[in-house]
Amino acid sequence: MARHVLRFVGIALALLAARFVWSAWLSPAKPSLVVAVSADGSSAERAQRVRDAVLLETAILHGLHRSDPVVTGRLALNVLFARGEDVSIDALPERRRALADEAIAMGMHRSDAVARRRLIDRVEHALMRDFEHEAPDATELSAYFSAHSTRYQRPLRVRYEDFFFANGRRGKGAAREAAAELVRAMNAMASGTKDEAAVDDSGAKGDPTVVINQKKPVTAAELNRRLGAGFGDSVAACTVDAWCGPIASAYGFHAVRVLERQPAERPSLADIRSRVIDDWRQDRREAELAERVDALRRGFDIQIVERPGDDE
Amino acid sequence: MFARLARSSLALLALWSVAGCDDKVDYEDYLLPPESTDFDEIGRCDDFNPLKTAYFGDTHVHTRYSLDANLQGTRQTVRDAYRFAQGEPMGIQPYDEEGVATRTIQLERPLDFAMVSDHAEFFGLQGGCETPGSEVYDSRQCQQYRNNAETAFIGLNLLLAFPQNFVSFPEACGPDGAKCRGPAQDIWADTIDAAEAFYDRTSDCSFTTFVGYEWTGNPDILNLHRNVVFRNANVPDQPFSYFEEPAPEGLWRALRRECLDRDPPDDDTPPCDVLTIPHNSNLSGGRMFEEQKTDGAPLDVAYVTERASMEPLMEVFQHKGASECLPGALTGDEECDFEILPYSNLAQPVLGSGFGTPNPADFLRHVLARGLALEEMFGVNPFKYGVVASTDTHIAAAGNVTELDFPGNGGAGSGNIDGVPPIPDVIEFNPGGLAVIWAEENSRPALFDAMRRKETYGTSGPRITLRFFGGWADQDGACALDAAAFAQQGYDSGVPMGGTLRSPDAAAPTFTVSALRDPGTAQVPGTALEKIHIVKGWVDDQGTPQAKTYDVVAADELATVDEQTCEVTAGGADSLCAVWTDPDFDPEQRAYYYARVLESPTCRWSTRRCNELAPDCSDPDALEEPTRTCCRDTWNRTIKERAWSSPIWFEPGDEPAN
Repeated sequence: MARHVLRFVGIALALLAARFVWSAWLSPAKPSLVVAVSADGSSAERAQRVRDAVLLETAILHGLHRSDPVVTGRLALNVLFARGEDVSIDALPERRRALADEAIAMGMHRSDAVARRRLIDRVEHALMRDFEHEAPDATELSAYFSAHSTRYQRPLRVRYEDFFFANGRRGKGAAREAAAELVRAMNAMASGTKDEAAVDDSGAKGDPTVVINQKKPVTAAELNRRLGAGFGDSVAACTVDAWCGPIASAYGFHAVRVLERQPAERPSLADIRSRVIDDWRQDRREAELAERVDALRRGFDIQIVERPGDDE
Repeated sequence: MFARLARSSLALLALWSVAGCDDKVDYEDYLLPPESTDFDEIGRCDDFNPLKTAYFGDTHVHTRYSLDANLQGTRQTVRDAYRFAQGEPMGIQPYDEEGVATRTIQLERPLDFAMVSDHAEFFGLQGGCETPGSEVYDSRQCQQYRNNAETAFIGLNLLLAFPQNFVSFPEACGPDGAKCRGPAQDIWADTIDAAEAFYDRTSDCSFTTFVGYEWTGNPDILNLHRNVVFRNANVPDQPFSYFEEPAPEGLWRALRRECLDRDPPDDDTPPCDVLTIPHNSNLSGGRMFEEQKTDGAPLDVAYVTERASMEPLMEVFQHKGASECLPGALTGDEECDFEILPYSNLAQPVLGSGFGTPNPADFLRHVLARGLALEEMFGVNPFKYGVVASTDTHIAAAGNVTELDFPGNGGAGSGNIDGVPPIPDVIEFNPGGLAVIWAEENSRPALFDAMRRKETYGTSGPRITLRFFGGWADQDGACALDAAAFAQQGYDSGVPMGGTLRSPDAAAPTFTVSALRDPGTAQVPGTALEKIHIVKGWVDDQGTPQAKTYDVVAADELATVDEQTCEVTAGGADSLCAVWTDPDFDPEQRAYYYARVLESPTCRWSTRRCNELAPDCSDPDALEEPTRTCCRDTWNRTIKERAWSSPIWFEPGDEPAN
């Protein structure tokens, strides 16, 4: 029984939705709508304001401001509050209509934040009531994945080894110098101009590391998080196979050698299927809503007026 | 399957045996974490590290699906919360008259894991009241919900304060809650979908989500709240809220019946697994750890075993204060004076009236000790809690723990729906902390298993790295080892945080502890460390909890902070390490040990705000609210942020219990 009622309501609302679009489209004279935007606002902000104005006006044209219980309740309470009267919810029903009419006469249905938001939400809800969340088919999903490849990009990763010189043990200046010296010595050894024995001194090879380096590929962001801002970025910039540094971390200075660099790449769709499906659905819903709002918009004669400055 | 059957049989056998020989129960097998299965295995992540990595997260996050957040203007969704946790910007209230968010926040460092934990009690009512045509839409209660947010907030939340034997569903839902069940399932299903969408199942393992919710019981306004954490997405099709299950025993029973003991529907679905994490015992007025069952009956083996099994962790720090220890109490020390609320229940901040000063029995040290006494009595320790922290954000700002530009968390704090007051939250509240898990990789099975075995710790916000091991071997030279060798030695020669020591092999246990300061970010450098304590607790012959705080290592030079300018002087250490042997060890006495690391002092969020406002506190009554709260003495102007490890327990005798 309940399901039939719900279906009936669903159909009724879908018809209501259709009626919004239809009546807006067929109105002989388009109602005019003035939308105030901030002079220094972005185009996205402007679009948002126009959109909200269109939805609000549509709600008002269909009398929702007089029929919706949230709006009339809110407006009635505002009037009572302004008069300093008792705002008991129980006293409301009988006087609600009259009080709300008073508020509407003052234009409060447009200016009250809660009423506005409610009316906008009601129209959005009605527009999308019959929208069904589908699953994309394989072609659609694959196309979407390709189109949004940067969003799913795996960042660059590096694998490295390092020696560490602690600020706490040596002082910053000495730590930096020791790291720099080791970089010079290790590079010299690699190019044959220096002897291994010369760098085989445990003092010169640094202090016990404070963070485990598994010598697995990691992103610069991960290194920044674990060892301090900039460390990961510096390591990622090193040339492969050469000793590099001294690179500063939050804890001291490092002599670093990048062993391998894995360039940024895209994961396979199979690996992140559920995430991509979810994103596809959200995008579909937003696109559909935007189309339906646009249909409403075409029913208005819109004038944009710029307000100077930012008065949010 | 067979293992679970075996465990259930063992449990039944154990319970049956209570009637027999003695009262003690061999619970070890019963409490073992479930084995990973093929589709749930550990080892698929690139970052797999057998010595474990510390992963930072937040398991206590509210979105628009929580009634209180919703009525305060939170529009952020579950997906917004997960995106924010991953480092994306998010708009928050207040919204301007055009509906555009007037504030935007963003984490400088993404979290490794997060769980959205909305209040299950009102999923159904909220969903129904917002859906024209639903069974409850036209009800009086829904009208109030839509028309009068302030009244609805108080009225509906009061339902959560009904005593457990008088609990009832919101009127509109009908006597058995049936009318709200459909909308509740829709919200729950969306919560699950969102968690699934954001869980990184590639070998990158960049982010893990958990499906969960909050059970929000606070009978007589005494907080018994628990977060329910599921291991994977095979979960019951409705969350069990305070209305369905008013007693924690009932909650655990329902979770056992509908999750732990339920076979998965097919071979491709991992078995359901779940644990609960209580929080804000500081506001439970003595009830969170009272030593009796909900119906007033005395404790028994079944109850203590169930509690031990279902609740391995406690959230000891979050927005609404700290629950570690009480300064001035027998088990307290000076440094316990950190984010201690001046009351013992939720009435004061919410209703503007209150009663009750903090109760020592609500704090971790007391509770852990009483757990030892109960273990002596029953053979099982129902209060064997590991430690985590979280935020309890009601604006979906998972992990937003910064003391700079704190936007206010909402919930029991300030809603900020119509504007941001000069002080954006109740001044005694704080931005919250983080849960940290030592796990082999950033995946659900690895993190969940670690929570079960309590290899976790909490911080009051900063990303301090903390290792803590205990054993019987000599640990000389441990602090000269590098990070990997230190951890290897710790695991090889003893147990990590969360573990239990038995069978003494030396005159006393030796612990190794190592802490690394928060490395900081480009915007905000981390703070140097000041010292490490090890806290030892036990019960005396009268069963009275005792504790001693040992200073084990401190920075050579201590830093200070200027309360007016918030500038910090040089001092403190990048890292601290110590090897410590218990000088007061008694092999006959049960005990627990945990490590606490303190940072050098810094300004509290409220100090920064109040410095900017510079009110004249010589006449507080002349000031407006909330600026007047700057003059209160209920909050500390400077704080030492910190981390607390899970304990390591010592149990006399060679075998577990029996």
